[in-house]
Amino acid sequence: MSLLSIVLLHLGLAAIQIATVWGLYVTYGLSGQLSLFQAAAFAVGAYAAALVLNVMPAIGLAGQVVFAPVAGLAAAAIVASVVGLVLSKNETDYVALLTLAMSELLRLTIGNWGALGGWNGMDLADAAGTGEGSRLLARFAMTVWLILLAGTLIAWTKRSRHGDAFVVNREQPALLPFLGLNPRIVRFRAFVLGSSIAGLAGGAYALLAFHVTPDLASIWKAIELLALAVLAGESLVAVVGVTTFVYLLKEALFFLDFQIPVPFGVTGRVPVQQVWPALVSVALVLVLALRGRRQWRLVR
Amino acid sequence: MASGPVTLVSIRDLSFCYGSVRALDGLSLEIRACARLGVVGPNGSGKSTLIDLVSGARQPTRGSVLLDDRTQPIRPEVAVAAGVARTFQTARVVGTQSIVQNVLNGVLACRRERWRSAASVARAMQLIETAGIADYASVPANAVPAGVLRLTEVARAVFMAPRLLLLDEPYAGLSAEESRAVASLIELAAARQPELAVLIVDHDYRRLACAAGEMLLLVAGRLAWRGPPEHLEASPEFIAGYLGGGRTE
Repeated sequence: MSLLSIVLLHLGLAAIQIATVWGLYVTYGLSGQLSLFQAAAFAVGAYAAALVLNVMPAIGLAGQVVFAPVAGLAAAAIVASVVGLVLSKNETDYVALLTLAMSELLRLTIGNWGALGGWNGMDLADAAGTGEGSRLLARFAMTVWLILLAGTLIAWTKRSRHGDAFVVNREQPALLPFLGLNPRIVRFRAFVLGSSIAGLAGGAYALLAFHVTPDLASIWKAIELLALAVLAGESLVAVVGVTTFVYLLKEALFFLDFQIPVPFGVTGRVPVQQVWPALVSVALVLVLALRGRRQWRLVR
Repeated sequence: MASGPVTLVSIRDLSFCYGSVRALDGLSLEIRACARLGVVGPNGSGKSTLIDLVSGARQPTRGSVLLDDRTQPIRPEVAVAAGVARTFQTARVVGTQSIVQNVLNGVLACRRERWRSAASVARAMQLIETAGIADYASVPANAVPAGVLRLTEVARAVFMAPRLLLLDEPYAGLSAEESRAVASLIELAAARQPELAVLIVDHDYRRLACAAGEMLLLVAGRLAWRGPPEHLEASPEFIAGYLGGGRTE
């Protein structure tokens, strides 16, 4: 693999992570719903794109670049609509519990579904007759396309009446009906939009990684995304900065096979890969505890 | 047959109970277009409950509230669509949004109006200036005094261009000047919507008397007296039920 290829791969993966956290920015940052479904929506998008591209190998590289993210977005929107119907009746901590349950249910379903490759996951067929140069160009085009599409969706939402309704839901949900809005519909829209953007990113991921597994929907991934969203706060630009930094940090630590002492008094060292979820979880708890004094509180 | 102003709301035999406590007891009332009703009464007399029922925040235990003679139960969204706007005893505003944004939120559900258009912002600014809070227009709501929040809420309700404006204790905590701003906002709303009816609930019956064309006295959930504001203080029901100590909580 050439250096350019590696750079473009990581650029694409970082962009995918950014787009996924942007989606959570809508669900959690704007509308205040503590969703742990983002990784599951990402996985739905990834599997949908893999299925579509595998049944349509003739669409070519350019077709893949266009269709993979769009297929992911559409599939995640459909699944999120079903989940959102149940979810929109609930608020605060119940949203976290329900989305956690739903995402685990989805992960287990995918893992036990033979047609989707079971726990080993599923490979994507490469577009036939394409050279390395075309693949690199496609990878770069997909990264730009993903960021443009997700960024436009988020920017439009933030400036629209929907974005402001989401903010009212976050801070004064009891006010919404007296502004003529149904709180359930507002919550539903925010959840579906945020999850759809994760699906969009998932579709792009499938095309970039050529392999999807049920672990894309794991709780650890959901917690990592939540940690990034909380850390970035209310700024979309901060999402880009924080997500890129954490992505690079993680990749560097993994690449260098960084060892850290086992926490909680047990002697010995382990590679950072093994304790990454635990590190992220502790970081999330710390950040939430600090921010909990303000509007990002977990409990009322 | 000569017809008077259109009836916006018909309240028939309205009762509401909080558990075993009866807050409203068989109240019947019509709110007609252009009406300016002031509602006074001791604590627990059912004033705010009346606003809650008319705005759809609560459903009656008995009786009915008919908006434009519609018979279905009122939900807040239905009431808003029918032209009802209200404020709350404790101002409900979005703390991280600016004052002008909070006013603009009044048309969140209004598809006819382009969101944050120059015309909308100009209209919101006009209301903010009328309320005398222009200095706070771009300040987040969680950083302004309580009086500004109350005026913001009234401005937001007026921004909704309602046919029926329900104000729940709008004068609480306001200075005389700020109270006059409330009156100015109502005038502005009436200029835009000539049929506007206003129902104001407050403890400050003197300020209320300045704004209302007719006063209603609620005591123990019942309509004890109604009449022109200038006769309120002299009425025996007011002296006995309000000044002399009606049911208090």
